[in-house]
Amino acid sequence: MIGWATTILLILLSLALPVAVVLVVLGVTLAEVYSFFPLLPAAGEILWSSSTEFVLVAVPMFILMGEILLRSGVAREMYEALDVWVNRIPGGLMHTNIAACTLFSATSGSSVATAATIGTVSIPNMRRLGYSPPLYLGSIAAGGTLGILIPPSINMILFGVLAEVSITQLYLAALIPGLMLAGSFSLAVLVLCLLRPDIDGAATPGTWSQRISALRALMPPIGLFVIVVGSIYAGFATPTEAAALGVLAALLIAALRRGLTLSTLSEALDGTMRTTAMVMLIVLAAFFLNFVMVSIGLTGRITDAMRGLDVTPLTVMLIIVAIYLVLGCFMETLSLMIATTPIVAPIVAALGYDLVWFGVLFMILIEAALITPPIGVNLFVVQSVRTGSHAGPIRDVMIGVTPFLFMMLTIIGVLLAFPALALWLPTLVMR
Amino acid sequence: MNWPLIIDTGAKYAARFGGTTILASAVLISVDVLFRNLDTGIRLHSFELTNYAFAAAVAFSFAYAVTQRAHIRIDVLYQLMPVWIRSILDVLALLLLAILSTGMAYFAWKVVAHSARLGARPNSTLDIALALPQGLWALGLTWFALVTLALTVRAAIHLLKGRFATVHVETGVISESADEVLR
Repeated sequence: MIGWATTILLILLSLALPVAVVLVVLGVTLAEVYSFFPLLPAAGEILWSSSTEFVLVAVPMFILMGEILLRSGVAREMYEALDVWVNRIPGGLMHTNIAACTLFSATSGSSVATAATIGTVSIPNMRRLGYSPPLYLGSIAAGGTLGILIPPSINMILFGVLAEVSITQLYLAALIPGLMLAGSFSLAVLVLCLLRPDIDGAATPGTWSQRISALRALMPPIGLFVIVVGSIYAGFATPTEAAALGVLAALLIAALRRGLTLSTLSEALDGTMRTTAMVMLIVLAAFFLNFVMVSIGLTGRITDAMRGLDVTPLTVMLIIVAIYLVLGCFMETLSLMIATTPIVAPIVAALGYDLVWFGVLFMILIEAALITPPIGVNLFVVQSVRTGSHAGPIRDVMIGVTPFLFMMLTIIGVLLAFPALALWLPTLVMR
Repeated sequence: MNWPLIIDTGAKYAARFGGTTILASAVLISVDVLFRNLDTGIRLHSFELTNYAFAAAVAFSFAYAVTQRAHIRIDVLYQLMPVWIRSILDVLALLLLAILSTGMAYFAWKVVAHSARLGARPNSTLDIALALPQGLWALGLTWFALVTLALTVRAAIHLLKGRFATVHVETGVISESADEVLR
C-alpha cells in the first residue's frame, strides 16, 4: 500500500501535472482501492471546512503585507542604515546582506520575497565595490531563506495547520535558532574573508553621527516586528489577527512614505491572490489526501512500521533529514512541504520527538532545499535580479551558497544535540 | 469577440475582488482586536465573516492563478522533453485541472444544497443562513471550473491542429530554471 502510493505519486509528479491535481488523484485512487466505505461524499464538507480555517487566513494577510512593503521602498533605507553599522567587519556588505535579510525576515513570511527585496537593493553595489560575485550572491540567496525561519513565517503557518501544532509556539521556538543561523552565516563570511582577503570588497566606513541618524530608517521594520510578532508573543492577538494588524501597519508606512497609489495597491492585491490561490489549492488537496490516508489506515500503518523498526529514533530522524536534503534538490519547496507534512508529522510524533522542535528543524531543511541545485528557488531569484553589468553564470550563485549550506547542516546538528535551543522559549512563555 | 482577453481580464478582476475582500477583512479583524483588548464589549464577528470572505476570495482567485500559470508543476523531467510531448502534457495538465475544478464546484453546490435544505445556521452569535456564504464560495469555484474548461478547449484545439509551439507558449510551465530566467 505504501509502495503503491509512493509510485503513483512519483509518476504523476514527473509528468509535470499540477501538484494539487496529483495529490487529489492519489487520494481518489487510494479511496477507491482501499476504502470499505465511499469517502468521496465527504469531499464537499472537507473542502468547506478547510476553506474556512481561520489560521489559514494569515497566509494572504502576510503575503499582502509583504507585497505592500515591497512597493513602499522601506527596504532600501533599511539596507543603507544597516550598512553603516556593519561594514567595518571584514566581509563588509556581505554582512549587511545577511543583517538586512534577518531584519526583513522579521517582517516577512517568505524566503523568496526576502531574497528578491534585499537582492534588488544590494546587487548594484557588488561590482562597484569590487566584491567577488559567488560569496556575495550566496549571502543574499542564503540570507533570504531566513524569511521562513524568523517569524512571521507563512511556511510555519502551513506546517502548524497540517501538523496541528500551535503557530505561536512555533514562532517562539524559531526565534533563537533563526538568530543563530543568521549569526553563523556572518561567521562564515568573516572566516572566508580573513582567509581570502581578495574576495572582500572596498569598505566605506561610516561615522558615528551617520550611524545614529541611520537608526531612524530602522524604525519601520522594527515597529512592524513589534506589532506583528510582539502581539503574538504577548498574547494580545492570534497569528491571523497579528497578520491583519501587520497589513494595516504596512499600509500606514507606505502611505506615510507616499508609496501608496491606487494602482500599486491593485498590483499588490492581484499578486497576493495569485500566490494565495496557488498555495491554497495545494493545501486543500493535501487536506483531502490526509483525510483519505487517515481513513484507510495508511497513516497508522506508516507510524506502526516506524515504531516496529529496530533502530533508534535518532537514526530515523537522520534518515528523514537525509531524504529531505535529497528531495530538496529536485522538488519545489512549497509542494514538498505541504505534500509530506501529513506523512512525516505522525512519524516524528511516534518517535517521541516534539513537533514544535521538528517544525523548526523542518524549516531549516526547507531553507536548504531553497538553495540546493539544480532546483533551488532562491538561486533563481538572485540570478534573475542580477541583470545588466552584474549578469553572469548561475554557477556563481550555486558555488556561493555552499558555505551557508554547510552552516545550515551545522545548525541542524546543533538542534539535534540541544533541542532546548528551540524548546526553551516556548516553555518559558507558555508556562 | 476576443475571448482570451475577456477570460484573462475577467479572471484578474475576480482575483482583485478577492484581494479587496482580504483587505477589508484585515481592517475588520484589526478593529475587533482593538475593541476586544480595550474591553469595549463590542464584537464585529470578524472571526466568522473573515472565514467566509476568505473561502470566497480564494475560490474566485483560483482561475486567475490558472491564467497566470501559477499552479505549481514539477518540471524536472518535463524540461528534457521535446516541445510536442511538452504540449501534450500541458493539455493533460489543464484537462485534469478542469476535472478537478468541476469536481470541486459540484461538491461545493452539494454542500450549499444540504445547508439550504436543513436551514443551517453557523454555531455562533452571527445569525445568517450558512447557504449564503457557501453559495458565494460555490459560485467562485464554478468560475474556476468555467475558466479552466475554456482554456482546456482552446489548448486542445491548438494541439489537434498540430500547433505544439502555441500550446507550449500559452499554457506551458513558466520555468524557474536558470536559462529561462536569464532570457
